[in-house]
Amino acid sequence: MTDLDRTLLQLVRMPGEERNHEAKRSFPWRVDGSHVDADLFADLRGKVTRTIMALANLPGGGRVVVGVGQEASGRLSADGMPEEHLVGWSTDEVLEHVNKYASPEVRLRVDQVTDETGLRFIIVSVQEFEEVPVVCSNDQSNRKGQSLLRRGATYVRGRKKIESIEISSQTEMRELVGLATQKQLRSMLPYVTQLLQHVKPGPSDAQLFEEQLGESWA
Amino acid sequence: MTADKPDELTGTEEILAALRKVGHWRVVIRPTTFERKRISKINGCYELIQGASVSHRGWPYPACIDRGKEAGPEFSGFALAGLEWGILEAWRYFQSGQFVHKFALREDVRTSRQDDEEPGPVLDWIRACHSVAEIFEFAARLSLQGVLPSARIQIQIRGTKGRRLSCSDPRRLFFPPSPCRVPIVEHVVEVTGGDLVSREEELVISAAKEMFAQFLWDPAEAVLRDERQRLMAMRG
Repeated sequence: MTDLDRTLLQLVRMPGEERNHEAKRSFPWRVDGSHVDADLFADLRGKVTRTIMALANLPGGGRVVVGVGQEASGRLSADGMPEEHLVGWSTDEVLEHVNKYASPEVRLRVDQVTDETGLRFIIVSVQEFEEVPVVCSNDQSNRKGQSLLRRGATYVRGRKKIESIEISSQTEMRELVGLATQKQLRSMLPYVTQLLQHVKPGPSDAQLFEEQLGESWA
Repeated sequence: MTADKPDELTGTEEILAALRKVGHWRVVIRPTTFERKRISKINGCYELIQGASVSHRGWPYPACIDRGKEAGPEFSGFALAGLEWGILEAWRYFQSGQFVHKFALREDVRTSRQDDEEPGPVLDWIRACHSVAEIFEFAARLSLQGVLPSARIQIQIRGTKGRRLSCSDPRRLFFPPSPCRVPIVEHVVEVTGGDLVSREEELVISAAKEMFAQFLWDPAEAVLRDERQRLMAMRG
């Protein structure tokens, strides 16, 4: 087992969800329309897509662990994923689907990890947005006709309750705007530094007086 | 050290060149902040100097007579050589409020030497003390005219290495200390315009003490205060 595997397994065994950590029950990413649970899987995929966008808008990003169910008590249960649910869980395939809904595109990586007992899990690591916050660019409804993804919505990780939601408070908006502003300033810093290197301070009062006298009066 | 026929010198550059060959004073009085047109009209420069000029000893500090008057871009000035009076001096006053003045040590440009004078290059301490007092009084008067809200005053005596202090008054007991070891004796001070007026005597004594210290002489403050007051009592 590699160090990466050990690290990923630590994530799988986290006791609860955090702002930067979401657990999801097992489901296949690539949905076969003829499957009896196709609608359920499509809904789960939509929820993970929303979570990925919300994590991209969080400082430091986050990850989604798939194959971890939640018991009635709220406790997480690392059940693993059956072979047939591993379909479609690749970085390219997840990116392709998520970026149909995300603008600008999100950056993520998909890893599969197997524990000592043979249980398998998928871990989607999402990076914080690069320049501007990620906004949803397409609609998707669930099987009951309720909105899962809404075009124009900006998803964030809630502060009061750990979930992926549309921005609904000024605190969440300030956090996101603050992060975007920091990034803008950071991206401008090299240019500003370069400019400042060419800006020479003007002559001092003493120098101006000296220049006025010239050599004859020195 | 003697100037080369300074009576025949006419232009400012010639006089400045002659000054470089003799012991001389260099005085710069200026505001602490640069403002190129602090004095809006160039004619105002000469009038300001005339108004602030000090005259206790017969020859004003700085000299303002029509014969040596000059003008240029952003300044009024004066330059004159008069060997018969031991005079070799030039000054400029810029619209920025900067005043620069160079004048020879009379000890170096006089043609005749009295029999009882000290041999070798000397600096008459009484005359030097009077010059310092005149410089500060002139600066205080400039300040009163509103063109020196805060001032940097730099006073130098150049050509001092190997020079001894002397005393031109035979009634004063004076034992010349060792010759000066540095080529330029200097005093620099930054003060507000208000202090120039209210602390003038203190500033004169402080400057004179620092400059005489370079000649290894540490006179009592009372001696310098008396000498300044004696100057103030003179009528030009």
